[in-house]
Amino acid sequence: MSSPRRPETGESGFTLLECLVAVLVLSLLATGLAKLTVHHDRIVADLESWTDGDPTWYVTQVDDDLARLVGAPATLTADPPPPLSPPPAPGAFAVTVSEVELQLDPPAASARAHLQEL
Amino acid sequence: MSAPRRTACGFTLLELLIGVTVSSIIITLAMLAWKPMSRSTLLLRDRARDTTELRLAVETMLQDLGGADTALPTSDPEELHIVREQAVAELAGAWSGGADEGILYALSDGRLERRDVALGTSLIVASGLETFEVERVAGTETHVTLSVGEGLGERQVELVWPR
Repeated sequence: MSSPRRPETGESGFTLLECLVAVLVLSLLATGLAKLTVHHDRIVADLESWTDGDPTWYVTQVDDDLARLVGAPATLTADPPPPLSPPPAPGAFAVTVSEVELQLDPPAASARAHLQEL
Repeated sequence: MSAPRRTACGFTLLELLIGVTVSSIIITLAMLAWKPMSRSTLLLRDRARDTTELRLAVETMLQDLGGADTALPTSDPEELHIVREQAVAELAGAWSGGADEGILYALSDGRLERRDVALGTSLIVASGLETFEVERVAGTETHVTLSVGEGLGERQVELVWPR
């Protein structure tokens, strides 16, 4: 059985340790790049799904007359608003005023009334 | 000048060439992996810009629709005519002659213009819009469709005024 050959002095080449270190460094770099790519793809996919779609929005005004008067913007809803109740049929109504508020400065008046069809 | 000895350490020209070739291949592969990422980033940038313009247009219209009495197309299907409620128009100083001449929204060269006919003011509320279409559906709803971008980056929003 012959003994392993000893490298002669001056013979060029890489040792096993050098090769392992080089492979390890390259693997770390490749892993970092792959992780970066996957992370970026995930963020892009999230953003695309967030901004995707061609939605239809229903415009709804605020109920408060005063708020509309001072410039409250309309709002958007994804669901269609309920159909408006039909206006009351022409006829006689009993009007009961339950509360009246008066104010001098600034001058204002408000009342709460109840309508009942006769 | 002495000639180098046979035992001198270093890389041969062939080894250097192989090293450079392998490095070039690795760099090319890395750049190929980066290319789709870069493209999607640019696409997202365009989409963000377009979405901002769309949002500006919609928010301005919502402000006017908040106090609107009617919102109807004109004879031009790319024009929206909003008439304010009387109290809102009076407060804005736009009530004259027993009526409000209203606000006109129209698209021109990709720019959405808001023209207050009663007050005589004009404002560009958004740019980069592709379409602005107004349609009256079944006599009870006004549909306003706005779109921005082209191809994969196209984004469209439809507003329904249910009165």
